[in-house]
Amino acid sequence: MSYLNPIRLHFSGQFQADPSTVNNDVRHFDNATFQPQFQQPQSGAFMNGWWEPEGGGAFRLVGCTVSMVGYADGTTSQTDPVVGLAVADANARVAGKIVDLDPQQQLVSEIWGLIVRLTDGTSDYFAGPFDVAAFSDIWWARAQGSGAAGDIGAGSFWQSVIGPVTWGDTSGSQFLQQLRAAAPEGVLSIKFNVDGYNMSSTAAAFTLGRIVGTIGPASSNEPRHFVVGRQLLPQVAQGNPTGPMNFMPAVVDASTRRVLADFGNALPTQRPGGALFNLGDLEFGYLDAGNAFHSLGAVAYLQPNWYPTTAGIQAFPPARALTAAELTALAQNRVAVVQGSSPIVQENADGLSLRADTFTFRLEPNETADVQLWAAQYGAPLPNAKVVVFADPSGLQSGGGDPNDGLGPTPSFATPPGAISFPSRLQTDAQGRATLAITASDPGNPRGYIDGQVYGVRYLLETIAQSLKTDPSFGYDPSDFVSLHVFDAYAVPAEPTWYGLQPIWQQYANLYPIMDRLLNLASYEDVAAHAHLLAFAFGLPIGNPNHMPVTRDLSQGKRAAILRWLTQPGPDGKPRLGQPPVPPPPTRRVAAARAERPTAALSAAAPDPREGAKVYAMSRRSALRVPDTFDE
Amino acid sequence: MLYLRRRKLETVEDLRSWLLGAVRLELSTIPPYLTALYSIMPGTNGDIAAIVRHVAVQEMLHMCLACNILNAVGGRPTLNAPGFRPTYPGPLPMGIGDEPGDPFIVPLKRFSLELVQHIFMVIEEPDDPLNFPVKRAVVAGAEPEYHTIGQFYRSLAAVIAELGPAIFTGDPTRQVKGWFPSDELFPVVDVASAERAIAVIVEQGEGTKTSPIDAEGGLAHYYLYSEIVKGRRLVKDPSVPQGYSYSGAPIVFDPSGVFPMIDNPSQVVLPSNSLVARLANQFDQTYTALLNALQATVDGDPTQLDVAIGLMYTLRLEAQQLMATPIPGRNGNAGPRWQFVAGYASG
Repeated sequence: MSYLNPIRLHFSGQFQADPSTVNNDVRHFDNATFQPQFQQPQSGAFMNGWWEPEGGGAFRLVGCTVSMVGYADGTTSQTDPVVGLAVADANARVAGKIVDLDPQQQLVSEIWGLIVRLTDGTSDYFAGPFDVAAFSDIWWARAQGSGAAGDIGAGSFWQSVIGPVTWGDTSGSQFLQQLRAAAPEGVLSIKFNVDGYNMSSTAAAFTLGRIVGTIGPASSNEPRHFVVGRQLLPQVAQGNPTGPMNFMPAVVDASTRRVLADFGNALPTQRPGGALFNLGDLEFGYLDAGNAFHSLGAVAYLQPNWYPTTAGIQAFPPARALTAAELTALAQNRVAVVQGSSPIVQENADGLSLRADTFTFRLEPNETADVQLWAAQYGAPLPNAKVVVFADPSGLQSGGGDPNDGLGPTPSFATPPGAISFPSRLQTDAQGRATLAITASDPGNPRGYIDGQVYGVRYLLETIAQSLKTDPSFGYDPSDFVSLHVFDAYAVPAEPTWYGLQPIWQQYANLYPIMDRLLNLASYEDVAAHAHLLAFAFGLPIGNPNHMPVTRDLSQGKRAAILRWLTQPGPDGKPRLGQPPVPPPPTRRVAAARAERPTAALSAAAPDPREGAKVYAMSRRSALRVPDTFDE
Repeated sequence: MLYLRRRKLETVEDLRSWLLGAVRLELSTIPPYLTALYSIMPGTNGDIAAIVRHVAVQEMLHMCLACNILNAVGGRPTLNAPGFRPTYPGPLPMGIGDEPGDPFIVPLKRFSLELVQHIFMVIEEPDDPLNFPVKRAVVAGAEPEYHTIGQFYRSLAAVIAELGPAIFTGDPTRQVKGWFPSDELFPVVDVASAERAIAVIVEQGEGTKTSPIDAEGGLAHYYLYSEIVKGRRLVKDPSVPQGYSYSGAPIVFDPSGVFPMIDNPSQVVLPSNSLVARLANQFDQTYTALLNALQATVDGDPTQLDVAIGLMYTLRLEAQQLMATPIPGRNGNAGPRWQFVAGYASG
């Protein structure tokens, strides 16, 4: 069970994401070359600290209300008492946080510490914590037309679970009673699509975007972050869809005998955050063995307000149940969406799919990530499926501005390859599941001024891996791989000192200028004066929204050293100052005093970093390379 | 000096009612103090900011202590209830006035010496200020139906002593602890601890009868604010009969280090659909969340105090952002309104 269920509510409104953007450029982590203007907003051709250097990292739900509900019998309603209620975040603690894994992997931004509530403003009907999740299937070409270049034109989705939830009085709503009964574990599934993100610092909607989502029941024997079902794929080139639609899931719901298809992150818009783009007649159905298309109905996407009302989810056939013959056909044929007579998204060959649940990890040396893989064929679990696994840096990025801007090269990523180890082959169990264990070792500080290293690991069904060698344009989702940040080994000093830890504090002071409004993290006196408060914030669990650092990029060793330093003062009662290093840490002047990127240097084809980090990062990914052979 | 009308204070019900008033009084002083504090640009006016912050933090302590006393005697501090919505500019709770019977209106203004002198020092003025010639020409003693805030607290202590141990029926898990030294914020469980709590509130606020120094050796609020107005630290001075004089290190005010926040932001209509309106609304939501978290704290979940502390820092960042944002079409920057957001109640 998931949000893609007959029992579901749809909501729409806005989200706020307010990350600090100084860390968009990995080279800003270099204390030796950091310059004050990197804390200023971008200006003209100068990238400086990008578009929101003062960001505090908040992620919020803003003005979201329920638009429609669905019931167990497959009917929907816009009059259930739940319609019009607010889907809101916390009202008694700070906002959730939006967090990148690393400047060299900015395309799996996670939401931490978010609470989701259904509320009328006086009472909550349910409320619970949102399980940490990264966005997926980012699609930079979602918005068409002028003004859509850059992150503003992109779309993406988050899927996770809320819970265990606290239920309020559900007696007044048939929908809530059904939802509660369908979620006996007290866990709900939530998926939301985001687009139309505003990066204009003077706009009323600065840091806001559109959010359209769905909440339904969850079950602990389903993945939390994707739907086990039918995965529809577009053709891709350079990691991006080449056609007019993006990746999307569907499920065949046995109880209502309908297909539920989720177009929420798959249909283009006329402008960022605007109405859906007219692609003409779109039909949902299946392709038989002879590749003939059998329609189960037209996609209703051009009806007014269809997208915010339904979150892009539609049941097929629209006005009746599937016949027994159709159910049989769906169990052995690929589903597809056709435009005219051309399939533009469709299931993989033989209806195969494989996807990881959690796909973003922070690992200490000697720590293991257990990645849960789910294989399916035509939506049913696929036992004994052969899975191949390989290191794949194609989803990572160099993480800098323009390479010719004078700030010098960016560090190599995914090196040394030996710092992660994993089996190159797996086989799914009787339930179609497999655990991919990825174990980290000390990467040995390969990037110098930034801790640890980022890695990508891709998993594919072996048959798909083989087919990609002949046709790399179809058969996989570029977003569907594991991202890891492996920390450097760090020995915690018995008596940490300010001078020993100063580079860490200095880096946070550089990268998060908003903190300067509270205290100067680069000042011993200021940090020492706030030792109690900092020990509190650095000591909070990583899931707490007040956890420091907000970026969650501090290794356990360094955190332990900071906490020891803050809480075990020296003889004078203050955190130990220690001795300055001899010689003092070097400072280098970078080739250009400013991160200049003359407009003339922009090539017409390459995105402009001024239009946002996500698209720019995406534009600089490498191509997928499937190894020729896999060890047996 | 502030006065409030004497009302019946005999039963434990009376006591709870007055203690709730005390909680709300302490809470009501925090927004004007923090507004002035946050209007000081980071990195400027450090001595002054430290003083205002010190007083504001002690008001938070006093609010927690008042909550502890109220919870101890079986009452319930309500911080986010619909019946309590302080507005600024507006009066303090309990009909408090700067003349007997005359409400004292507290504004929200950016930091200035005038604000400290004419508002903050009036709020904090002791019964019998030591060493100061600016005592108002009122005859409190001749107005038996009114008493000062210090007298008010002392009358609470007196009735607690009179009613005795039997009134301590509250749930001890509702006592707020942490974040402050344990001799300042402590559980109130009996007459002695209640009296100690009241002594901390009165001494930190007013000093003792004989000294501007409280039991912990800190200057009382009135004298701290006086230091700002006089521009000098108050130090021991054997050459004057009072034993203290404003002859210590200078405290220099730099007016250019204050954001040009408009007075009383809640009275200014912000352009709809503007960034500044959004920031103002966001601040109000965070303030509301803070009150909700504090309510949860005093209702028996002491872990929520940590959550409230997190919200406090968010509030500060959001206030600073507002105060750095000009209001389109007006000569001045926005500021926090400290408004409780209806429809943002705790679930």
